[in-house]
Amino acid sequence: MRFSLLINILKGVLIAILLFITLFPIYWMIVTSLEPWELVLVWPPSFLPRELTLEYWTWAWSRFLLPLRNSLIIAGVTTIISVALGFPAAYSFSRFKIGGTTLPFWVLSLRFLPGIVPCVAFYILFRTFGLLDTHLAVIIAHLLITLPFSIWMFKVFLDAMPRDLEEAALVDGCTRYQVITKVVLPISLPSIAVVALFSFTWSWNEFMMALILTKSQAYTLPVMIAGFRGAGMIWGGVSAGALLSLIPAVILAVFFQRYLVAGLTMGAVKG
Amino acid sequence: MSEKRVAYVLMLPALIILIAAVIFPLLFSINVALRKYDLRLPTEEYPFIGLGNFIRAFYDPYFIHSLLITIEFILLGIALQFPLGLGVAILLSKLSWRRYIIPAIAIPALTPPIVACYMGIILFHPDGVVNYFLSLMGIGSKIPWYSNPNTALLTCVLIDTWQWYPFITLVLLAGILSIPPDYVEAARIDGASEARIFMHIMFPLLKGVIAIALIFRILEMLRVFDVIYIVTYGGPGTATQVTNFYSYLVGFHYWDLGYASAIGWILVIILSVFVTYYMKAFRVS
Repeated sequence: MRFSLLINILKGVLIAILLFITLFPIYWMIVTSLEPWELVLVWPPSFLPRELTLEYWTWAWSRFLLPLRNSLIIAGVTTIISVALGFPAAYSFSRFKIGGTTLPFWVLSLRFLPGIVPCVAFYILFRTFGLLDTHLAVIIAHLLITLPFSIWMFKVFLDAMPRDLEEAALVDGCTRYQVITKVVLPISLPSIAVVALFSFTWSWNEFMMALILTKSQAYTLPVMIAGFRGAGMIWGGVSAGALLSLIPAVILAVFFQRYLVAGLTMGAVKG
Repeated sequence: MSEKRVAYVLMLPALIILIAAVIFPLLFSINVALRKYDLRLPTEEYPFIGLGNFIRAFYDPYFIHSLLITIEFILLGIALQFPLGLGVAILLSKLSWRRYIIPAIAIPALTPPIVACYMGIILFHPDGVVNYFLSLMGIGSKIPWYSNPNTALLTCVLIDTWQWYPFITLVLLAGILSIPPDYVEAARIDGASEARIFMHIMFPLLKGVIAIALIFRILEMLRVFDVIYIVTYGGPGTATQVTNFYSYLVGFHYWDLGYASAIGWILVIILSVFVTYYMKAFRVS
């Protein structure tokens, strides 16, 4: 009995250490964004802010408004296109076995393409068409990641869905399109939410392509934050901006726990 | 309308976008890789030089160096992330209240990598919190984590580990939870020790998920870019210049897009060969 108590205490301690390592950096960003800059690097550091200021949040608000808007537009449009085109395509893969197994696999492998390969091509093409530094350029580039992701994820979800209802509807005289809109879509709403949120997050988090394809107009939050690297970085302000960009991650982690593993492994492992 | 036609109509919009946004750019970048596509040249003509850019890579000490740094990054990363990820997965599998812990642990993996790296810069600053904790444990000297060539790569790996060990944990946890509890119970009744249960019952059943977790991580690390760009910019000197970052410098600092593209394709080739052998070794599909 005493032994198992000891084990339980040990587990609790390990979990506490783990949570500390995982969450402390985020907590520390909050502190950094609220404490006057001169005090952040005072040795030894203080784990509660010694003085509070909202100066950096107002600083961030004025500067991060444009990239925040850009990120919302780019991630939003990318998500809508990925879901709207990915769902029917996945249905087709799943129910009609178009492309056998090689085509879906090929789609999956796109996720691991080294960034430089599409970047060079997109850069030259968009420069030719005068699309550099526009939302459209980044959206097209991000579709390279999110559309394969959405097709693949929907295929995994649809493959696992029982077909009896669809077959019953077909026998009752529904057309294929009616089956999709009246039967499959309503059952698929949760998976659509999951795929949409993950697509949004991948586009929202993406850095390399957004860095190369934008300059002064269409840059996203990660590009903005990266712009402060090196000397003269205003830590408080950048922390405030960085905290804003954590919102999708927190929503996904807290409300979509059941789907995290499937989303992170593109359905290779089911949670 | 025939079923077959429905299938193609549903597929078509996505396929058109994939061809425009994926296949065409990929073919185009092969074309670029085979030319002397140097934007610094005053011409509009970029002559075809065949495999010139690919051959150049094999004689480029910076490229070879970058491959070695990439391998070092991957080996260090796996050495840290796999044991940590596995340990935490086992720990969580024994907790009935794990669903309150998992969101906190999952947040890093969903965080924009740039933000994780930015946190890293603050925490690993010579006057930062990491050095403070080390000083509490008796290591008094302030380590210049990312500005010392000996520790810069390790710093990047540590930041990558903070962000990605949760991925390994979540995947392995899903695997552990899918093992039927009777297997483990039966072995326990037969008197097997915990270590033996893990080695002989759980590990063989987990081989598939371990293979998946590792290949995702290895392939992601093979194209690591964000952490290097933010934390060290390849430096100090070339100490952290991994291949994907080197290709960025070649392409978008020195504007030799042809050579940059060739380096990208060499990475693709390495990646494909690796995946093929890896899948054979683990027999995963």
